[in-house]
This record gives sequence, structure tokens and C-alpha cells, in this order.
Amino acid sequence: MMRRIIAMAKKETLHIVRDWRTMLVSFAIPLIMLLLFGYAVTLDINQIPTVVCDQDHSPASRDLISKIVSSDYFRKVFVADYPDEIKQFLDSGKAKVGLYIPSGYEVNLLKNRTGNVQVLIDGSESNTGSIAVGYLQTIFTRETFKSIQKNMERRGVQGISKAGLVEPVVRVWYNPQLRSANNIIPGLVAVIMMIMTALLSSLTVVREREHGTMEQLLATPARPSEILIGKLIPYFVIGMVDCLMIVILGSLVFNVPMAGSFILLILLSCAFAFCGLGIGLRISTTATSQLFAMQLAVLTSMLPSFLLSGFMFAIHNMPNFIRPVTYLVPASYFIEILRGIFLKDMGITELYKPAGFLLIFGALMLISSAMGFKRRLDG
Amino acid sequence: MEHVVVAENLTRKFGDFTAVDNVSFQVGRGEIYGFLGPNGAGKSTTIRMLTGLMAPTSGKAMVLEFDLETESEKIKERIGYMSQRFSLYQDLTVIQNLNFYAGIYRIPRNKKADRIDWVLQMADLSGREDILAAELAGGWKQRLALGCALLHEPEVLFLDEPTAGVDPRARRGFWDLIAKMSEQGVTVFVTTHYMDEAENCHRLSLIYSGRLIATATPEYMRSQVIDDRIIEVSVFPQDEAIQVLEANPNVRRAQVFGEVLHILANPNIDGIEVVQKTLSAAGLKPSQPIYIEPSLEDAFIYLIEIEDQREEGRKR
Repeated sequence: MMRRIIAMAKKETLHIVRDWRTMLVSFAIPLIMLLLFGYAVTLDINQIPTVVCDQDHSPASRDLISKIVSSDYFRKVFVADYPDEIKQFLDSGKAKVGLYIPSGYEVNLLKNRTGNVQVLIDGSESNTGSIAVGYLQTIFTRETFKSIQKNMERRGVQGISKAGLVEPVVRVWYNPQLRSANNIIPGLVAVIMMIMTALLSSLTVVREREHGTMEQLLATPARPSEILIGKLIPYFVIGMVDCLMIVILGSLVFNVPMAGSFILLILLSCAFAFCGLGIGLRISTTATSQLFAMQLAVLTSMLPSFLLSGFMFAIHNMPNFIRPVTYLVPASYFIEILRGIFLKDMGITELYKPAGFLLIFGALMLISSAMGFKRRLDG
Repeated sequence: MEHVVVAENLTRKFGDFTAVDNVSFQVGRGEIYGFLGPNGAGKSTTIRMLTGLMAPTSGKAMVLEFDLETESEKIKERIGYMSQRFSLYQDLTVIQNLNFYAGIYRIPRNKKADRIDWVLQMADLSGREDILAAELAGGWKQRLALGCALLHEPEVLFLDEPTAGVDPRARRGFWDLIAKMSEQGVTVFVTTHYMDEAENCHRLSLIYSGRLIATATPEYMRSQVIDDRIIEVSVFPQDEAIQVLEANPNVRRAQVFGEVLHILANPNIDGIEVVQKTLSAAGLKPSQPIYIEPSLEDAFIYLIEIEDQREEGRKR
């Protein structure tokens, strides 16, 4: 049993090492994805380009503008003289937010009237837009309150400054700075491991059938289980190396904290690697060509891990008819585990359910691949 | 004689097409047994059934007294197989391929080095251990594949068109190796469509459209199969000559054989005279006809024709 598995694993490793493209895919792509997601794809929104048009030219209007653009969320890119110029900036995409303070703003405030301010938002980037609205509303609420307070004081009413005000005291747990890297990078471990293990292993059996080498192998006494286990060992190693690479670089380069047990993380990563390898192998034993196998692997592993796992979009926000599908995506369980261990210091007592799912899913996939493996040339 | 391969009514269908039709034969220990037939006659399908690579639609086979259906694993441990297409790993070196198969066949560690050395010697691959299989020339590739199939000292060797696409000199060498194996007691089952190669077999079956139409030694096939005498003559134009000759009741058949015609004639008459007269009467100028010994190819064509006639009769 062992001799054959070792021979198979060695041979498969030689194929991988010999082919620089496989090596590139195995190690460079995870690295590139880590850098892309770590640096470029940040869901935090800062420095939104903003164009302002102040026709009031009063201390109050200047004060409001400075409150907004000094907040780090907004960055003043242009000061327009006329409201029409705002349109040009939004049209050309040079600004995402336009702020127009018409003349009479300060006078209105002083005379107990509403000080109107027009805010124009570029809704084509709905995410940025809605976040900008949120930030602005916070700033405006604060300014409104200040202005009411001033008016009261001017009329001689004292001591009501905070009366009747509801002020929430917010504490953010697990990720106090709400850094999206802390959320994305643990999720990325799952996405990358799934893509790598499923994609690479999806080619391994069908390639031998295409090249005709399977014919020779099937004429030997090697059993399907020996062939398949031997074949998977190197891809398991690649999956785990990728996992370690992202975990280590995530913590060294992107300062993602590691609250929980590293050992537990590695053990459960192994379970997840079996799921990916199982999916890939299941494809490889059925697919009729390498091209078809690859497309199927991308479709069944990459897309669900990106879109239906909670990696990019929270599962509880998904429509009711999609949510049940996420229960079948191994990555959604592993992301729960990863975020639990990285950020919340969860142990196995909290994570046994998703961990159990991964083990069962992986086992089922591998068993069904072994059963689906054609021991003959004609099925 | 001990029979190491026994096939009984082996049949394999692919949909409506019957690739192998009710084939039965026995191969004795140490014998070189050939399956001779044109492409698509069912040679590869037969060999794939015997090696457990394809399931027979009906019929059964025993290899080394193990039942193919239930004990294929035991069979696979004791046989070597070389497929028609080169099916080793092209991106692995000679030695890596050998090491891999040594592991797959679980050759004991203390014997492994000796066996690999033996294969390298046998295949004349010493000094080429680190060459990629893809970079080997045809003849060496063939010998490497044979070597991988012999690593575990199999009792039966199944070779599917082992010399397809190999130059004549390398083919010669390859058959010398096969003869040597047979002397050492290895049974060899080999398919080929080269008539000259088939002469190297101890016994031969002709397979045509999935059916065995004759089984005998090559000598017997050449000398005994054909009742008619064969006359060789050079004459042009060949088409016209064939027409004229076949109109004669004493001529069974005339056919193009390269530059000359081979005529099968009634053995009880003076064929040479008949041929000469018939052709001259038609205004053609033949060379001096001569009697020739039938070749394996003559025998094969003769048998195929009888088979075709029988098939025609069956249809009617």
C-alpha cells in the first residue's frame, strides 16, 4: 500500500516541479492575490474626492466645509465658483461628492431658519455613495446640534446643553479599528486554498487519461485508492504551503492579529484542504478533457468561494433563496472558522460544527471520487 | 502443454459494432503467440480485455489460471503490458520512469537496483538514465516501455503493436529481445499488422473483422492453407490483365502484388501455360510466369477472401 502511494506521490511531484507553469500557479498566484486583496481591494472608504461650492462665504459655511474635508473621509479636490461646475466634476468622475452651500446659509441659521446645504452623490459606485451619505449625516447631525445649542445660548437659555440627547456609546469588538484587512485576509486563506487545491487536483487524473499514461497504469496492480491518495499528496502540500504563506504574510505585512490557536487553525486548514482536493478529484475522475475539468473546477470552487461564502458579501444580507446554497459551500464554513480563530479566539468547542461539516464534506468527496474512478478504459 | 492464456468465446461490442466476435484460443507457456490482422480488426480490443483494461461483453478468459473477471488484480501482478501508444511519462527521465514502475510493482528494495540495471542493459539505455523520455528516439522509447513492462519479471507479456513507427533495424533488435524473453520462459502475446514480423511468432492467429479466421504456425499457414498454386507474372496494364485472367475458369483470382501479379490457379493444371496463353491471346506481353512459394500475405489474403465469400453466403 505505502510503496505504491509513495511512488505515485514522488512521480506527481516530479511533474509539478518540472513544469514551471504549475509552480507559478501554485505559489505566485496566491501571493499576487494576497497583495491585491491586502492593498488594493480595501472596503474601507477614505479620502472620498469632494468638490465644494460655497456661495455663502460666511464663517458658518467655511466652518462646515472645514469640518467635512478635515475629517479624513473626504478630500477637497476642487473649489467651484458656480453650482454647475459641480456637475462637471461628478460627470467626469473626478469627484464622487459635491457640496453646495447657497448664499444665505449663515443668515438662515442665525434667524432660526433651516440652513440648506445641497449634497450631490455619485451613485454609480453605490457602495462609496452610501458610505459617504452615512459619514455626512453624522457630521451634519453634530453641526445641527451645535447650531441649536448656540441659538439657545444666545437667547440666554443655559444648562440644557445635553439634556434629552440620546448618545450611543459604541465599542467595536474583535476588530476595534474596523480594518477590512482583518476581515479580508482570513477569508482569503479559504478562497486561495479552495482555488489551488480544486484547480490543481482537477487536472491530475484527466491529464493521464488524455496523455494515454493511464492505460499503462491501469494495467498494473495499483488500486484506485493508492493511485488517488498518492496523486493528492503533493497538492495537499501545496495547499498547506499556500495557507501558511497567507497566514504568515497576513500577520507580518498586513498586521492581521492572531487571537486564537495557530495549531487549531492549521488542523482545520487540513480538513478544508481535503474538501478542495475532494472537489477537484471528483471533477477529474469524471471530466473528459483537461479543459472541461478546469472550467468545471473554476465554476464549482472559485465562484462560490468568492461570492457565496461570506468572503466579500455577508451571508445574512443575501436574499432568502440564495442563503440555503451557501450551506453547501465549504468555504463559508471555513471562513467562519478562520474569522473565529483569527479575530475572536474561538476554540474547538465553539467551532466543532463547521469543522465537522468540513470533515464530512471532504470525506464524502474523496470516497465518491474513489468510487467514480474508472478502473477500465471503457468505464 | 500448459496453457497460460485461455480465451473462450470472448466478445466485445461497442454499441452495434462488434469489435471482437466470439474469439477462442490458447497460448502455451513460453510461446510467442501472434495476433495478425489489419487495423481495426480487433487486435487491441482483445489485448485490452486480456489485460483487464476492458470488460468483455460476453465470454471469459483465464490468464495464468486466474479468472479475468474476478482475479484481475492477481493477473496484473504477473503480467507485463505495453500499449500501442507510448504510455510512459514523457516529462520524466528514463530512470524516473523506471523508479516509478519499480514502486508501483513493489519490487523488493534489495532487488530494485539489480532489476533496473538489467532493464538498462537490455534496452541499451545505460548512460541515458537522465534523458527525458520525450527526447528518446522511437526505438529507445519502445525498449524503455518494454523495460518498464518487464521490471517485475512477469510470466506473460502482452505487446500491442510494439514496433509501430519504429525503424526496421530497431524492429529487428526488438524481436531479438522478444525471442530471448521467450527462451527464458516468458510467454509473449503480441499483435502486429506487419506480415514479416508475424513470421517470428511460434503460432499465429489471423484476425479479421473481429473474428479469428485461422490459427497455425507461420510455416503451416504459408504451405498448407492455400490449395491453389501461385504464379507470379509481370504484365502491363495490370487492370486489363486481371480482367482477362479472371475470365478463365482455371484461375481463381489474380491480384496486384506491387509491380507484379499473383495468380491463384487450379493446382491440377499447368498454370504457367494457362497464364501465358491467356495473356498472349489478349494481345498482352507478359514476362515468363513462374511458380512461387506463397508468402504469409498470400495466405492471409486467401483466407480473407474465403471469409468474405462465406460472409456473402451467410447474408444470402
